[in-house]
Amino acid sequence: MEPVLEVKDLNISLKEGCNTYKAVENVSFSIGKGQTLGIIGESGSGKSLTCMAILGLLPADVWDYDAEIVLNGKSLPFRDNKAMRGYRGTDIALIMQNPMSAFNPVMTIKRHFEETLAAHKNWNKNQIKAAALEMLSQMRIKNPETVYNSYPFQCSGGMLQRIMIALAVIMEPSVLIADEPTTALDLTVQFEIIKLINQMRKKYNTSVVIVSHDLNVIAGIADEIAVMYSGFIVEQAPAEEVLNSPLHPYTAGLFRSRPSYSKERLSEISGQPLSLKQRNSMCMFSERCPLKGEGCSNFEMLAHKVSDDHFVRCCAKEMTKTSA
Amino acid sequence: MGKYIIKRLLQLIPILLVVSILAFGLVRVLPGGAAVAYLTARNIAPTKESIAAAEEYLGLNQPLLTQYFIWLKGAAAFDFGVSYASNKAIAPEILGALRNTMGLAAAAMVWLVLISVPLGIFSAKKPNSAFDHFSRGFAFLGASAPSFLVGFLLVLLFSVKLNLLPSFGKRNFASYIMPSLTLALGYIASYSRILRNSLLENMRSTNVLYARARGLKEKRVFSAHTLRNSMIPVVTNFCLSVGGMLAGSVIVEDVFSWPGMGRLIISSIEARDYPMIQAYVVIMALLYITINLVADILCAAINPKIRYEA
Repeated sequence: MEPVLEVKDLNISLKEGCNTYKAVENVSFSIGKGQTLGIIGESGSGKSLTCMAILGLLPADVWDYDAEIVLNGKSLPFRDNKAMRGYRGTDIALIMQNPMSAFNPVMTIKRHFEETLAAHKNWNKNQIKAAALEMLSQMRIKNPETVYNSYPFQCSGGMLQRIMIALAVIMEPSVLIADEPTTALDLTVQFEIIKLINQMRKKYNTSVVIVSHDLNVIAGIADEIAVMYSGFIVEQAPAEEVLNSPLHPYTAGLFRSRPSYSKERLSEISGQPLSLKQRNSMCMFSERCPLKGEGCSNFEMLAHKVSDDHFVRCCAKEMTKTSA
Repeated sequence: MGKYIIKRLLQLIPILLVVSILAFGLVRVLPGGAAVAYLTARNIAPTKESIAAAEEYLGLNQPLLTQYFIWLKGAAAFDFGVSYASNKAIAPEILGALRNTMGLAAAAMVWLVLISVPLGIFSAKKPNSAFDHFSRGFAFLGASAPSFLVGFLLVLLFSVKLNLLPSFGKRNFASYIMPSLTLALGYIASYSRILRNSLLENMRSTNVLYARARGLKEKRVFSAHTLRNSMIPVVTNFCLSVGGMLAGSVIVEDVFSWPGMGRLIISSIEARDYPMIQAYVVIMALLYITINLVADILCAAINPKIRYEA
């Protein structure tokens, strides 16, 4: 199957004076039509950077980045802000993590819809309103007319997140990027939002990249899971495979620390991830790794292919597999 | 919104009452006494007899409360009595001066918008560029230079050396230029910096990122999101200082011999023209409150959050 979005060798580094610090390294993935890729990782692992890079939204004076990003067979001009404008919102839509601050507080929801659609389509205000109200009711907003005319600060966080989904899906984009869409919301609303994103994916056959640090969110929706740690995808495979037989010690640790309704003490991954400036040629996870061995201190984070659609960046796994 | 305005207008009544009591009382506690001042203004020697006659004439021998109510009754009808110094009715004299001061303030506002908005925008577009440093230096100088100095320097340059602009008085359009610029300079300095910082902060805000992520044109992102939101603190601050601009033009009016409220009050205080001082205090208070109300409405107009909470 032809992939809708393909990211090849994405490298992002932070510019600080004359120095650069690598923040995301060799990230590659592709998503097929109507598929969902879940990216999971802790804060600072490079998940959001990856999303912003795809949209070309990383400020060039702070970030240096390079990749080949292919959308529907065409290479994206992510460095060219002007050219990217035509893709943003129409081909690639974004759902952000903090709906309360993403909307402009001095503009009504109506103005948000109008300016977004006016930027890409030649619709008049009535057409926009009809489409927006239809979309809002699909988001199970009970009184779309009232919501349409209200200001962002008059809506709840969950409501705004639905409006954001409506604003994203209204142009039927081929890729929907959801960057921590549920982080700012309470648990019951989280579930609703995930369900809505999934419904929209099915309805419009959109490909979804969903980023979260919450395993439950990812497990519930993703076809494929990429686990990020310190700027690398340390393990990537179809969802069931990652969930049932995680190979990377970090993935395994994540799953062990997933809360369940038992009285046992939750296990944790001890220690802290390396800061950008501490990163060097050893395995990024080795300091915290239960399987740490001699090879770890000089490991270039190479990908080891376990099967056609499963790879892991771990030297312990590499050795055990090759020796077995 | 209508309710809000009515509520604010009703609040005017108690405030003005208190102000009138203060204005009335203030003049009574000043040393010297009104009758003596009245006589001195007329070049009559203050003897016992002449003082008694003046007190009789001015109604100063009546009980304080009666005096207050007589004065208040007049003031409510905008009749503040007769000036001791000029022997003319006070209301038209004060209104004439007020018109001049407001004209000066309006011209200063034009300078303010014309200079500080572009200054703020261009320094925010390229922070720490040569232009930004220049505008920072300008702001520093403008905010710290006292207006009498700036005024005299302008006079020296444009009137004495270049002979382009009139150095004093209010004669034609050109005579507005220097006094209003002098009055505006301090405000220009601070507002251009407020706008710059507010713009820089908003440029990095989530709603601007989201606007860009929705594929809006850069122009629209700037005007509808970055600039509009950045104007809120500027307008709020500006609203606070309009009143100050009106009342604070004293020095500028003195430097340029501008026939405004500032000069009027200074000469009235010197002449101990009590009815004029009282009228000035009451009218200034009324003006201040009205302007603050207009300013609040303006703030509510650009910031819906205020509109809905009020």
